[in-house]
Amino acid sequence: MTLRWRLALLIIFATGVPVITGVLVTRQLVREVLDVGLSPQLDAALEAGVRQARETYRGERADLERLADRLAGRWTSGEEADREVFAAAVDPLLASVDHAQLTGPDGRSFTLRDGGRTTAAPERRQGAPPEAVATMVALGDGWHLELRRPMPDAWREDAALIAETLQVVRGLRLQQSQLERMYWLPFLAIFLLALAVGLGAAWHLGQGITEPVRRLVSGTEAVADGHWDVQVATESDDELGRLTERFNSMVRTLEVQSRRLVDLEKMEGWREMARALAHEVKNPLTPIQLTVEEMRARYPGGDEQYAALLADCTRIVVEEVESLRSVVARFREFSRPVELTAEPTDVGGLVRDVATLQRDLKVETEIARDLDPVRVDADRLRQVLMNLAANAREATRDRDDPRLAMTVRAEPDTVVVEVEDNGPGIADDEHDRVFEPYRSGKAGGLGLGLALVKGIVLAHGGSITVGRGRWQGARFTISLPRDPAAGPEDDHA
Amino acid sequence: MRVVRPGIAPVILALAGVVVGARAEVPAVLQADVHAHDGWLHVTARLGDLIDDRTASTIESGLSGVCAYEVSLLGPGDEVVGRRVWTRRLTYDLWEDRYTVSGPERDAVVPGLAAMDSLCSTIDDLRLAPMDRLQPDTEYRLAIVVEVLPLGAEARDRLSRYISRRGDTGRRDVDVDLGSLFGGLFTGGDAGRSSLVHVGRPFRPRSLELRP
Repeated sequence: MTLRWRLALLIIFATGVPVITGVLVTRQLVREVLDVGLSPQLDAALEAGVRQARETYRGERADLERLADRLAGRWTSGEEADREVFAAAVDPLLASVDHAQLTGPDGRSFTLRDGGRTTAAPERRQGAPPEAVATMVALGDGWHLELRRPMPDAWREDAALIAETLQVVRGLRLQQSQLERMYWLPFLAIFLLALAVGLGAAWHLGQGITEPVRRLVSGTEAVADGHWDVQVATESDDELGRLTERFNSMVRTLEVQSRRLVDLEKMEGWREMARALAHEVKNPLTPIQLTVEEMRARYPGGDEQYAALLADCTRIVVEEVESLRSVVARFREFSRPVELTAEPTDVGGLVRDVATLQRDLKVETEIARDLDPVRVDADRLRQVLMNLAANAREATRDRDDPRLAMTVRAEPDTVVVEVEDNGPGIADDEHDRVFEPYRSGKAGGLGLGLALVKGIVLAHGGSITVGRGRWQGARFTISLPRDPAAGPEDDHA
Repeated sequence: MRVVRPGIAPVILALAGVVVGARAEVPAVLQADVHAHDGWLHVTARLGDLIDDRTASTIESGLSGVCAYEVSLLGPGDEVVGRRVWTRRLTYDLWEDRYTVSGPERDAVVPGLAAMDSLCSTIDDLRLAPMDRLQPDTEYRLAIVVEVLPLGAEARDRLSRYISRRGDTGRRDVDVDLGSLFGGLFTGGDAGRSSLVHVGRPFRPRSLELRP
């Protein structure tokens, strides 16, 4: 399982547990709140309240009916005079009544009292308490007496409140499960939204962590597979970014060290071969020389022509033996490890001195200012520069304007010296092999010059490469370590 | 004429079974009878246990309930040949202690819940379809769908308003009006409703009893 998935699962777990707990707690809380709010005790209390209010209402109605009966006892007839007497007699008893009205058999009505607080058939909302009590009593001969009395305002308000609350409790209890969902589902949605946002953020964060790690892992695997030139992209300057930078630096160092090791091994091989060659060639030279000199000395004479030929041949052999001795000497010199006497040296000044000596070339120099001294063997480094300058002279022999450029600049860990000319340059496929010994482009050359140069540079803990310069000629780039710890004292190539 | 998809009746029955499965009292068709009279196909049916305890409790708090009826005559391929749809509103006056069943034909005041249930459970001599539209030897079936809603639309609206209102003082405790949101959700609720779906056995008009 990858780091990203582990991070994601960890965050899902870390986010999901409180979210799920929150949802469950919320659901339970809503359920308990509803249970309390819709409890049977509350229902029973409300029902008792409604019952009590209803009893009050019925008591009011019974009282009004009793009054109506008392008034009916005073009724004599529907004649106008009797009605007026009736009205006068009952008027004091109607003080508690809002509306009193007589209705005759023919439908005509006579108002005895009208306080204006009640109406005959008020609109009443379903379940709402009545505004008034009303009763009608038969008086005889088709006459009726209707009485209305308003219910007290306090009773109406209380009764309406109790009734409405009872209805709400009953209605909500009927839909309790739906109500639970209705209340906690928004919370669930909020929790899920929080979870989604958290996961998104976690994924994004995880990507920020795991992607650099993944790139580092890929880089490490590439290095393990032998790809020393790998570099991991850096997108941040945090700890992972610094880790990546260090990884890249480490790989660069490893690449340089690796190449250096390979070069050193190659160089050792070549030197071993040079040693063997010098040994095998040197040994027969003296017997050859002695033999031919013996042959010339013992010739008794007599044939002047033959004696002249013998003398010429002997001289040629001796000269060639001497030449071979010279070659053997150079081979032996190449085969010996480079011994350095390193001291802090002004490399810029050294380069400037060498440049001054190249009078047959048009020389350009570019020396960085304030260069710190570098621990090198000044004589050996001069030998290197002179050798490269000689190569440049040879390469530009056919040019009308032979040019040589020598630059020195400082890099973070190295001092870089570049030597380039405007000759024909070196073919790209020869760049890696030009430092191998015995690969000379010069007539009569042994091809040891650049190999010797490379040996000296390697002995300094540095490196040398060749490429194309600004004039399309050869450009040799020498990197010398500024750090004494990586310097020549530890290396005797 | 609307055509009911073949085979939908068992699905409706199964759903109705799920709906009513959790209830103690299950509405049922006790008796369903069809007969011919005055050139019409008439239906008489007796239903049972329409008003359960929860519906009764709701009605007796002063909230109105509703019984919705749909009686259909299904022909071949469940084609609807005749249909009657109506509702009855069940109310109780808390203060006058009066039970009322309001239907399309009349408003009836009944003495109590039992009488209310009895009245709602009766489909009496309902004229469903003219006989001359029916094929004498074709098989027809009677379908009865009854839904009892403990909360009628008016009662649901009242509850929704109650939940969503912000109080008489107009004070708002929170900026997000969760009450309105929940009230809106509540309006669409149909909890507590019970359904009855009955599909009778096939009959042929020719074999029907003719009543004077």
